[in-house]
Amino acid sequence: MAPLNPADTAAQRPFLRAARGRCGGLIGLMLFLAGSALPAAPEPRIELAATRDYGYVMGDLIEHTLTVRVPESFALETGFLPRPGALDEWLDVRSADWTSERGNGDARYRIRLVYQVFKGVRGPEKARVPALPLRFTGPSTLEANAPEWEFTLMPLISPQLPDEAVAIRDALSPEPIATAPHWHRVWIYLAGSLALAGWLISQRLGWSRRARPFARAYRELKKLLHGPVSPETYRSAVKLLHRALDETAGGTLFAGQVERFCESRPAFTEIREELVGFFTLSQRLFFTAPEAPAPADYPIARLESLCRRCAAMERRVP
Amino acid sequence: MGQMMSRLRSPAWTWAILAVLWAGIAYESYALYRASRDNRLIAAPAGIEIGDSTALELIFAKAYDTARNGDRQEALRLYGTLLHRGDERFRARVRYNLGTLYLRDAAELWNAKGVLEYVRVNTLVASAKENLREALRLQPDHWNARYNLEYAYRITPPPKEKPKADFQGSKGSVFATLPSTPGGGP
Repeated sequence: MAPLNPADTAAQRPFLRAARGRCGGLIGLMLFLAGSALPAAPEPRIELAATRDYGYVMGDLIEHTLTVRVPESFALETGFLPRPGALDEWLDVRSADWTSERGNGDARYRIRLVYQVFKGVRGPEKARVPALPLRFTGPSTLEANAPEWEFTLMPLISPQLPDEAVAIRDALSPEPIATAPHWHRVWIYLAGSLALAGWLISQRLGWSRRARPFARAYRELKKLLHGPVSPETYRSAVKLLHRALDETAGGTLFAGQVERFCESRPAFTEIREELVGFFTLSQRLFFTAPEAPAPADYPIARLESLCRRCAAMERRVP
Repeated sequence: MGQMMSRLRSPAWTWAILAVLWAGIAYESYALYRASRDNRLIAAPAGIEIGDSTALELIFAKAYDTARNGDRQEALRLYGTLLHRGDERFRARVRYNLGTLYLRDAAELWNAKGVLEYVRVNTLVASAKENLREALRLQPDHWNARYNLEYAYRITPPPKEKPKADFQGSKGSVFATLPSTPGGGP
């Protein structure tokens, strides 16, 4: 305020004093109105969840889950969260991680904090996890504190036991090196080797012949031909060869599929014509003239020869 | 697929697989031989010679045996070489044994001399606490480490009283004790 002009008369002074008072009130009112017209800073809503607040002992882990709701335009400043390490003399932060969800104009943060207690107590004692400052960035900086949290800590050593009587727990003796995993692996490798060696031997000795359809068909055909050859024997011989072809093809093999059969099994390519001839014979024998005697142009010896050749081709297949 | 299967069935591949399996058997047999030899040494640690390639468990066994025979300094040195080696469980065991070794020394001194050996007890207890805390960080369910750590806190000597200020001056104002502008200053 400017000092009064000495020229002011005594009559003017009360008027000036009143005017000055009115001006001050007006300015105050204007400031108040301007302040109330500004949008209020949003308040984050914080909920703290912990498993329990009693019965903790030395070395226990305490898990806190903070659920914080802020307007969607604000984002958690994660660099402001505590880092794993000692928080104070007796409390460590083991981990601090967070997830966020957005929707309905809100951002919801779930902050999971794991503490570890290293406080030595002689009797049940109250301890306190300090308040956790949180900061959010957005249109403005928003700061909030997760509330401090009180819990009960219990001693592990009986409070009545004098210090001299406490028996320190012994050092850990060395542990023998485990041999069981090595033994397991040796047995597995040995079993695998034996199985593989057995398979190789069976291949070499021809034990897998039973699995060869043409070889089997040839053996049965030879047995069949020991007796007199009747039309029925002939038909049986043709059926044997059909069965071997079906087994090799992995399903019923029809005349029209001979080409594809030979393409997928190149070993049989050189007897393609023979196979086509065989299917023509089969068609005639079973469908065109089922009552006719064994065809003279396809003697059973030819059938036997075809079967033998097929067995030879079959051995070439790896 | 069929081609791949037929390739796998070829004798060359079969022999290759067989060779790998035999190599596996040879490797595991050697590992078994070494483990059995090391286990014999663990049972009789006096015969352990510490070198650059000595197995961690053998060094641990030697340190444990040395501590039992009363040579705590050598045991501390040996455990010290293991602090950052091995997996978490192994390191927790090393930290626990190291902390317990310091704690035993501290407890003997504390119970025998009390605050007369304030500095030594305090140093030993601080080392014990540090190692036991680390053991618990690595393995929180280590109950013996919890127990020993709580005991370490119990025998932690109370903090010393601060020495009284021995300022004898008689200045008229606190500002008179502040250093003046250094010479040559503006």
